[in-house]
Amino acid sequence: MITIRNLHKRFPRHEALRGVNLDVPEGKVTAFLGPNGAGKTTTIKCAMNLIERDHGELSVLGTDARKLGREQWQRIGYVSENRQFPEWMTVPKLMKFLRPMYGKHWDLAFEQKMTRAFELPLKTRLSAMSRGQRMKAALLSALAYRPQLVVLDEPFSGLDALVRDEFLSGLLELTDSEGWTVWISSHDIEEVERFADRVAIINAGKVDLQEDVETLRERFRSVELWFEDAAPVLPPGVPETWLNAKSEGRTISYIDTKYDEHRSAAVLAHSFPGHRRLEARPMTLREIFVALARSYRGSAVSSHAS
Amino acid sequence: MPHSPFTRILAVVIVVLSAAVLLCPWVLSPLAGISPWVGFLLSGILMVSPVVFTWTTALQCSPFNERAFHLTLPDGRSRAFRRVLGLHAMVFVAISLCLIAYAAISNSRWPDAVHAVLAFLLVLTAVCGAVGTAVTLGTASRKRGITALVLAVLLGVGSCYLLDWVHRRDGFGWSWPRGSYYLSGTRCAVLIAALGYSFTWWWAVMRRNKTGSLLGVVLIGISLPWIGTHANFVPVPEADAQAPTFALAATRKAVPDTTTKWAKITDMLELSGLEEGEFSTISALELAEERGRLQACGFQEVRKGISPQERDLGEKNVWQQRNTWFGKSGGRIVWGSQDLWKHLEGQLPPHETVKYFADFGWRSAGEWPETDLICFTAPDRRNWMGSGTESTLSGATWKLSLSGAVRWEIVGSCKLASGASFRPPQGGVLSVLPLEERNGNAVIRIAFRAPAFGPVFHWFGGKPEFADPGKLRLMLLDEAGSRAYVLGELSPEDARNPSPSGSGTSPSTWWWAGRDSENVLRRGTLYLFQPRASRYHEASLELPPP
Repeated sequence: MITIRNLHKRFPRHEALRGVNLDVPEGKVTAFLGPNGAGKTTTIKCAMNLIERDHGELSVLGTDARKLGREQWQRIGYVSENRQFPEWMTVPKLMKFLRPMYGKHWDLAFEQKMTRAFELPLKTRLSAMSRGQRMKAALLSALAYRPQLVVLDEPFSGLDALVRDEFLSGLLELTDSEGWTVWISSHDIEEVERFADRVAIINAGKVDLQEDVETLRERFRSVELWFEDAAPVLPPGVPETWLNAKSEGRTISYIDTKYDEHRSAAVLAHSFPGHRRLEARPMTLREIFVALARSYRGSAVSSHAS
Repeated sequence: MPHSPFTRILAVVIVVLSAAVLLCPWVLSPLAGISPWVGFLLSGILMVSPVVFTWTTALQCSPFNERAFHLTLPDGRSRAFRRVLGLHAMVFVAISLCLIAYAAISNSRWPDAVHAVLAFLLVLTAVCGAVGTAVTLGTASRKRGITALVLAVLLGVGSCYLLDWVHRRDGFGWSWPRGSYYLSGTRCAVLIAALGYSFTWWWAVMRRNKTGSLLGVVLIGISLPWIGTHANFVPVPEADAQAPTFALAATRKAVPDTTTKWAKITDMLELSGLEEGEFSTISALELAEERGRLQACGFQEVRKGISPQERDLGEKNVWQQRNTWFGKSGGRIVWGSQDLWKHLEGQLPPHETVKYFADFGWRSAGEWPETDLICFTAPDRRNWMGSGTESTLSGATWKLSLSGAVRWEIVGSCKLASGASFRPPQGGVLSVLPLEERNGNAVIRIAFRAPAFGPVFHWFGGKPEFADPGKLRLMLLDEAGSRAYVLGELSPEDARNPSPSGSGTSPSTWWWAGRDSENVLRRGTLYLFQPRASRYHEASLELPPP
């Protein structure tokens, strides 16, 4: 659905994207994660043709992002926390304004169903609604025409837990039933984890990782080695697949990004024969993200020091 | 993006303000005007409000605002731009309708009204296009928007200086254009500005091309002064550029050798070429002296049989003539304002007698004065017009300046007690107000409002009238319709006093009448006469000595 190759974008004072490569496959929910300033929103804006890219190729629904036209926009639902809505309108007026643009794609029954499900006030202007209600209205305006591709840029930002849960439940339900392709950028990894099929992690303007969540979970383990006495000093040249490796007290801990139960156990038995116990714990998406973010920071510090 | 309530309100405010400024003074009262300060304020608001309006709407359709709602909608960019242009079009049409109503109410000629509306629309389009481009570029980067404005203004001013310098040097063979053009430089410049700035706005919004738009703004800014000076197209045919020659022939006769220091004009000059009912004026008589010097001369109208030197009869018997009327009435050439009055009297409904009040004042009505039109043949110490004419009147070449030929027609008639408004064919509106009483005097008040849009030269749709409209002449018929009264003259130019907002209002002109005359006035019917151009253009005749 979305293919991004070698995407570059430079702003006057910094280079935001340094060759992003990303695929958002059809029918899957792809979470787009990364620390602040990593380039998530810039990538999405380039994909939605909201800003011009400097270099690279970017295809959305098989069309160059710069040439997105009526047909494509009738199949894309875009929700962003930053989008400026006509706040003087009520939800029914907004829907009335939008309906003609989507023609036969607009599903009035679906719109009414979602309006009821989201419990949106019908006589209140958007400006007088709570942030959660506004986001629901935004979601309603982006989904009522049953888009094939749903792009959500930080949709949970600023929502309290209850609203976030409601919002997410609604989205989850629809995504499951409609089989939409969803591309969602968020800080809220735990929420995203509930329904993401795939994850892409961007850092410093480059996508470092994009993979199905299942394989990612299988691959990543938080490993701890326990020793009788003080743990040995880490040998030089620890495998590149070990992130944030450290030796403290009687333990050595690291994140193994390519954990294989038998192979990893054999390697550890060879490298640290004195360890008494090995614990390889599956990680949540959040833990994986934090581990990667730490490793990026560590590598940035070391590269800065060198 | 749908239009915000603020944008809609602004659009309505602009239209209502335009209507208020243009139409209110006309609707409220024939004498209503706008005080200068209110006029300046309203004019300022009228000029600023389209800029604010475009500013607001341009923000709503900018393609560079990453957060804009419309950018991720189907056809969002073109739809938003179309909506903005549509709203502009509605406002423009509404203001144009106000202007057309203004033109209609003020009795402007339709070619002049069309020209005014087109000029207004083009200027407004240019302003809105320039503002729209700058605001759109400003949403991409504030620096770029400011740069666009500053560059357009600075380079435009710089271009003006360069143009001036080139013309001063004339080093490149430039010269100021001569002749008249339908598509003159100014019209070209306005047209180019309107089209060019609209295009740069469209280019910025639909093509998202910041550099191209900026370049366009700069190029237009630089080129406008040059276009305004040199881009002249569609020359006006010579026959249209100059009005038909005034076919008046004059034959000069020898100055009679009289014992008086003056001679009657009919003894010295014979005119032909006027058609029945046509009148013209000699606006100047000059005597060409040696070395090309011109000596001003002139005519005086005196009561028949009374020498102008007989001052004991009072100044009332002598009328200095600035514009000497002559015309053809009853198959012969007639001279002077008294003969003109007689001609006008002939247009009144049948009546028995006529009383003459003009120039005597209402308190002393008189009988019709029979007059002669004379010219001094020798200097007279009490009359500067005659000084120095002795040696030159016979020997020098006479230079007669003539105005165009006109026909005096009745503009309208009304009971003075009630008053009425008239729309003369030349444009403008004459309003006769109901007779008033002030300090024991009856006051006739006549207000003239000039047409909203003055005559436009070299424009499609007919030639403007070249002839001087002259003064209004007023006559009255009493209640029984048996007695006519000559009231006097009123110059529309004297009465005109346009307000700063251009509403063209004028104060009134009035006459005082004694109590005895009041009843005659109150019950009588006023007749207004106005000259209408019959043949155009002023002419100058040189008459050598016979």
